[in-house]
Amino acid sequence: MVGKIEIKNLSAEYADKNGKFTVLKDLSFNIQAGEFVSIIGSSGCGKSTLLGVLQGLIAPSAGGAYIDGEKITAPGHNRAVVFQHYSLFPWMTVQKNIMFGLKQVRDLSRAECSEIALGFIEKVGLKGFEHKYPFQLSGGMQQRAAIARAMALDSDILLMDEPFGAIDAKNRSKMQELLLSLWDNEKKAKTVVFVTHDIDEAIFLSDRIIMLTNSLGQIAAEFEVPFPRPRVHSTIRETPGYVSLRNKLMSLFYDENPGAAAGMEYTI
Amino acid sequence: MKRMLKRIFIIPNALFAILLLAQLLPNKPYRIEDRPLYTVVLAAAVEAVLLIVSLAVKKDRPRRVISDVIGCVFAFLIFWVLATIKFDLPGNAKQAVFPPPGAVFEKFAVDFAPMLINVRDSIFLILDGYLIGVVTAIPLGLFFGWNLRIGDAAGYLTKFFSSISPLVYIPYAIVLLPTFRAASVFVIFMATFWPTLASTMSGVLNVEKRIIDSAKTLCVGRFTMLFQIILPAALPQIFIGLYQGLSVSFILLVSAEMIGARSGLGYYVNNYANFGNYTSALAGVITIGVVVAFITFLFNLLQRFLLRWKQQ
Repeated sequence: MVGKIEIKNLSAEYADKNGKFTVLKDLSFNIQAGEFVSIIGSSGCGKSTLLGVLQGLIAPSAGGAYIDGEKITAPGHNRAVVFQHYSLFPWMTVQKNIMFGLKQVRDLSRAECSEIALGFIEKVGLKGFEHKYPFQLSGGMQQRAAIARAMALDSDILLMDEPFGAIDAKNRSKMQELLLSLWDNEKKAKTVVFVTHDIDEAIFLSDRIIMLTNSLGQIAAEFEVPFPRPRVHSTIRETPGYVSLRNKLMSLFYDENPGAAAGMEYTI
Repeated sequence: MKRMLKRIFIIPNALFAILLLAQLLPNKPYRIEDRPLYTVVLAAAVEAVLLIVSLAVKKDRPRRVISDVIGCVFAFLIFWVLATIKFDLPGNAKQAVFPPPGAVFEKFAVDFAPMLINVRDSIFLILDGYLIGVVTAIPLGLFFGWNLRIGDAAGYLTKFFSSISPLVYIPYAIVLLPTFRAASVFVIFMATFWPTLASTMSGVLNVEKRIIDSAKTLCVGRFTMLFQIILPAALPQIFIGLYQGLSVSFILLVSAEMIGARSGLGYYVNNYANFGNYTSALAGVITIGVVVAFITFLFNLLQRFLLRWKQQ
């Protein structure tokens, strides 16, 4: 199986007008091929920088990330990405966006691209919207299209940077179920690295959760999520062990992030 | 039915009636003879358009805009005919500079064929200069904005150059270029090139970084990045420069056609103004205005089409 990710002694800096900050320091962990791993942590903990390194958009200052033994130095065809915003190109329709992605990454004829694109548009529930421009769609529909594009690329690895962060709670649950059903039903087992700050989302989706400390981006804790798949929101809360896992994550999250409690986002 | 009547009893229609009545007032003795028939025919044609639009156009806003514009035209014509031949407001000494409207409109009929040729030649002149400016400025702007990332320095340079009137280059253009026409085209080219280059560069520098990241993760090639990602992303800003270039091109048309042109609207206006024939010169000025309005309309259609992916 392909899509194994190794992160070895990774350090990375984040640069802005005020200078350079080390956001990841000497981080090491592995992700198995076909595994769904969530990275959680409060904002500024370096989780997006970590994903940037995996995308090949951010160069590490020391150490590195490896896919199947090969060091990541640039974006590659073995990875597909969904961002929180602007994954889609606003001047292309939904179908054109997906076809454009396919054309860059896979060697297919126009007709094949079109066919694959329409197939994924149907799978994400956007049938009838294939000729709409992103601005004509709601935020949730835009992310459906972005997921369709990423899935259509048929890469080994899916990198997702808070893809549902800007979507309302009800639609977010639907999107999570959609993502899982797409992931479960793919012929090829995809490795997924999913960055989020939503603990419920992480539990629902993941095989494993990695929590980063809120400074110098090191691993605060790791949790296996052993719940059976397929998962749906209506039953997962009744799964034995759900509440205790959630409580453990919550308390650790607030211990690690004393400031975050004030945000009231995760009140129990 | 009531709504239809409401669409007929509007101020522009009243102004049309006043314009017709104004023709009946006695004329003052005037150096240039008025031809009221031409005013009436032209006004009637405009009125016909107004009536068709009032009754046929369903959407409120375009109907109102068209009828307001036509109303302004009628109001101006009323003022024009009253101020000249009916009351002679400027006084006898200035009569040659202020021909009555009918005399000017007569020129449209008399000079119709040559005027069409003038319109054609001017449009070709502007098109040549404009298109050369656009097809050179956009790729260069993309290249400077994206590859060199010297956006700030290049930005100041283009601001410096675009602040220089293209007229300054005329003597150099005449000396260096093989024909007078080439020199005229060069003036229009300079009017287009700098604003388009400046807006393209600033457009490229302002492209949302996350869109570029998204394209990078798809491993797009250099050429695709430049022409399928950066160009469309920068297009809304590029259009600002394109429009500025178009306006300045028309403003400079009269000057550009001073350089040895033998036809064209600018030449027509220059020529008659030089000989003191302001009746014909004004006919040329009005024609330029109509051509500019029409081309701006087409330009806006093109812009709306190319930016149809943007929320208006």
